[in-house]
Amino acid sequence: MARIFINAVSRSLIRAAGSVLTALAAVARNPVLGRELRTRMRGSRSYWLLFGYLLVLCGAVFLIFLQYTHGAGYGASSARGELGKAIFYWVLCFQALMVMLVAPAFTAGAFTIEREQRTLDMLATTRLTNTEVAAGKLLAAAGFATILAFVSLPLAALSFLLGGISPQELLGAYAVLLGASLFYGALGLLWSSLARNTTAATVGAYGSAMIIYITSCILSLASHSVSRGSGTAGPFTAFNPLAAVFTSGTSEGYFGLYLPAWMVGVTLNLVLALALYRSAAANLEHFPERKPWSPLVFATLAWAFFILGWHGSAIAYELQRGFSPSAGSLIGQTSTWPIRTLASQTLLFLALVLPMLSTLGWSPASARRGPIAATVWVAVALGSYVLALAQFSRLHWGAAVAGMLLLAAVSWGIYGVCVGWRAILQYPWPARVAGYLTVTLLLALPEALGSSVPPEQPDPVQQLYYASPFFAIQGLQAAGDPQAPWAEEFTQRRSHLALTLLVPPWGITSGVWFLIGLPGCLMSARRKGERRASARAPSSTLAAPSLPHTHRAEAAETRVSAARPQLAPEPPNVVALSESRAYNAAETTDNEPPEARR
Amino acid sequence: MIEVEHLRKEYGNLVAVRNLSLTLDEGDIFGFIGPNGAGKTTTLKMLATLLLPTAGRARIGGLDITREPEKVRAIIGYMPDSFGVYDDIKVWEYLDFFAAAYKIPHHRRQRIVDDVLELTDLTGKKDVYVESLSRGMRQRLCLAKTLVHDPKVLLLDEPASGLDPRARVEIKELLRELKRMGKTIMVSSHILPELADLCNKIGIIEQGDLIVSGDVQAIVAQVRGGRALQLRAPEAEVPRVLELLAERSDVAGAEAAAGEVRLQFTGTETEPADLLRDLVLAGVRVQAFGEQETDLEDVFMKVTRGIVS
Ligand SMILES: Nc1ncnc2c1ncn2[C@@H]1O[C@H](COP(=O)(O)OP(=O)(O)OP(=O)(O)O)[C@@H](O)[C@H]1O
Ligand SMILES: [Mg+2]
Repeated sequence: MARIFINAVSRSLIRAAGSVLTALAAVARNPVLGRELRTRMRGSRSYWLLFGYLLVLCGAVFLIFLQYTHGAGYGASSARGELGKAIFYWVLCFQALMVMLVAPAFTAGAFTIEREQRTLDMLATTRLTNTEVAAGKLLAAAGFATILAFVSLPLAALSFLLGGISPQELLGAYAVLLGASLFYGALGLLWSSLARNTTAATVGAYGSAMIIYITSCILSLASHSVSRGSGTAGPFTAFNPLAAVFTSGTSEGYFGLYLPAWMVGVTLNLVLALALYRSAAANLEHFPERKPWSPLVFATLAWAFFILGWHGSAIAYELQRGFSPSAGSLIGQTSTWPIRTLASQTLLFLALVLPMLSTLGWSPASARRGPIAATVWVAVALGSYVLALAQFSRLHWGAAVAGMLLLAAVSWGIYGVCVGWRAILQYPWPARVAGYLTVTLLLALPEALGSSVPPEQPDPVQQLYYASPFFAIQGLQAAGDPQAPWAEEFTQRRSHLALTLLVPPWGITSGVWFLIGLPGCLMSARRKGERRASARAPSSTLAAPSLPHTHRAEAAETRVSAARPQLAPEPPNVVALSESRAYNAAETTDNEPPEARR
Repeated sequence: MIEVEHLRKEYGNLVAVRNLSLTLDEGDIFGFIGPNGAGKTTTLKMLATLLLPTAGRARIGGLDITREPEKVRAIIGYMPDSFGVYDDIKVWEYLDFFAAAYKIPHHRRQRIVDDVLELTDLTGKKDVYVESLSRGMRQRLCLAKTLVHDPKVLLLDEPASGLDPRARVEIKELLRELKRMGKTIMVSSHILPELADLCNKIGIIEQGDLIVSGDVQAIVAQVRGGRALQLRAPEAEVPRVLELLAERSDVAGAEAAAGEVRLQFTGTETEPADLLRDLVLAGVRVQAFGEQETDLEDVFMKVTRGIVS
């Protein structure tokens, strides 16, 4: 009896949700979304899935109910609140797990299945752009997750009726659930755009989803339990949907601003989902996107995390002290802002991100431009950030500009090293590994060797300090703030360096790093030139049969290309074309040598 | 309509298409012929903006395929050589989906779907699930799908492969219908006679080289070193005809078979008439006189000989 009832209810709910979503799809006018929803809702498969899902939830709630009503003291409002809480936690935790299990599964096959059943080519020649296709796929998956969430809403509302749970907690947890379904869906989508077959995409999607899910859950819950007394949790505790079940009622402080944790969690999920889906769209083989902005999104995200994660607290501290930046602060005055720490961290960030960026083939059509654009972007973003910080910390403007030049030179050096390895090794992953090793050595060795010598003692090894950007930064700080604890050591070391009296250390270091980057950049430029040349050269070695040309009136328009001259003039755009990589499915995998990609 | 200049495509070290140039005018039907692995699919995919050329350029309707692929897509209809269909979708929904994907507004789609179903003779299958269609019907459905946005140019990659003779004839009929509608069509095949009476231009590609391309008649003439003529005369007079022909300078060669004489004529456009007049004046009772039927198979074998080995 109950089963029939649930059956009927869930059936009509699915119908209603399905028609609502189809209507929404029509509004959104995304044909991919419309088709996905229409075909997914068709047949009994999704219906049984939902039915089973609801059955499990109902069973769980029933068991909790039994356990609580058999316990002592049932009837008191506090006990009812306990029951409500228990139901809420169980239902939402179950769903939070389901999000991770369901969302990647729905999207991991989004493109691979189309490739396997050979429908992607036809989709690609329509006027849909890759972002539209990807959006349709993602929203269809998220739509199904939304239905799952809606179906369970009455059960969760039960806990709300019993008390013990605030509406904010309930809605917050649901909002995070939906945001997370988009995020994990977008993760599956990214894998689907990269992988060759559905199995690989599914394995990759689940692997990465699991790692992200578990780490974020552990971190959030740990941070939540630590901060329980203070009332404000650490950052992003509601990013993970499972943790959000417990933290959705709390608030988080950002630079003195207190936001509900769930709001931050939803926003973060959505932003990440957007970035992932954009790069999935850019990875599609067919659609030559003009603007390679998925690497930019990647760089932006990395940058945002860097600022928030490493500098957030420092910035907040500065804001709390309430300094007021003024035009006068640009000249001469110094502060205790740890510019050295900042710049060193920035260097580490560069060392982490740049080797990856410079060797990645992002959007296929922009394979050459993408990494360069992203690298330039990173350099510009870093530069303006450092400049802004210098402004806030009342650093001498000369020091700020010098710091920027230094960072730009180091970026160029790292970029050159990695691009050079890429040109030599041809495969991206060995190039990345070699790039990381070289960059680490270049950054760490001069510092390590240089500091093995006591500062008072003159030693030729100390000249190695020229290659260390950390030392140059130390110099910048010392120039601005002679009272700084490291200023004395810097001055001592400097007295043993030969050139520093004429040229400031940061200038020498910039030059050194420019030289470090030069061979790699030249090498990669030469390789590109070779490629162009090889594309231009006539490679027709087989002699074509020469057919007699007869010139008749109607044959005027006939073009016989058999007896071509050996040196056929190439059109001028051959350079542009040979530079961009082909975007065929079989060619876009990362681990092929670059030759195979052209 | 289609201008291709020095198009080239490499897959690693393999050159799939080498220095391909051709021009098609509006209303042309171009037969693209070549053995397996010759590069037909690669060429069509490049023109369909699915594959980036390594070098060279191509324009369709004046639009560069690499610079403005979005605009090119709006005016071409591409039918891949092998394709699949979506599950759980009905024939009209399938077409409606593609119409929507070509950004055709909702209120016009219904009519268009009905029209293309009518054209491809699938009206009766409107509410049938796509996966239950037979191969021939799927092929026609795919053709219907390429027509929903009324493209000016059709790129059809072996539209008749894997079909029985009857279905082949049907597809050919359909192509003729499209020709009447004034579309420019590029159709690939490795079966020559299939295209002979359909196309006004052909191109033969072998190992990435477009060996020959142009007007069907002109190519036949070129390969044979002239135009192929054919005449019939009473059995008894054939030796005399051969004698007469051997004397002429504008006849490259002649052979007799079962009362028919086939000859290679190297003269100009109007001179076959002179030949006929001379024969009749010489007292030969010519029963029939005309151009020999184009035998593409022959052309193909002749042209590709010596390259494969
Ligand atoms: N994705 C690819 N990667 C590497 N080589 C390819 C790829 N696609 C095609 N080729 C090669 O390019 C050449 C031309 O292939 P293409 O598919 O264009 O031939 P085709 O003329 O269409 O042949 P068929 O009549 O068999 O369809 C072949 O040698 C093929 O092996
Ligand atoms: Mg083919």
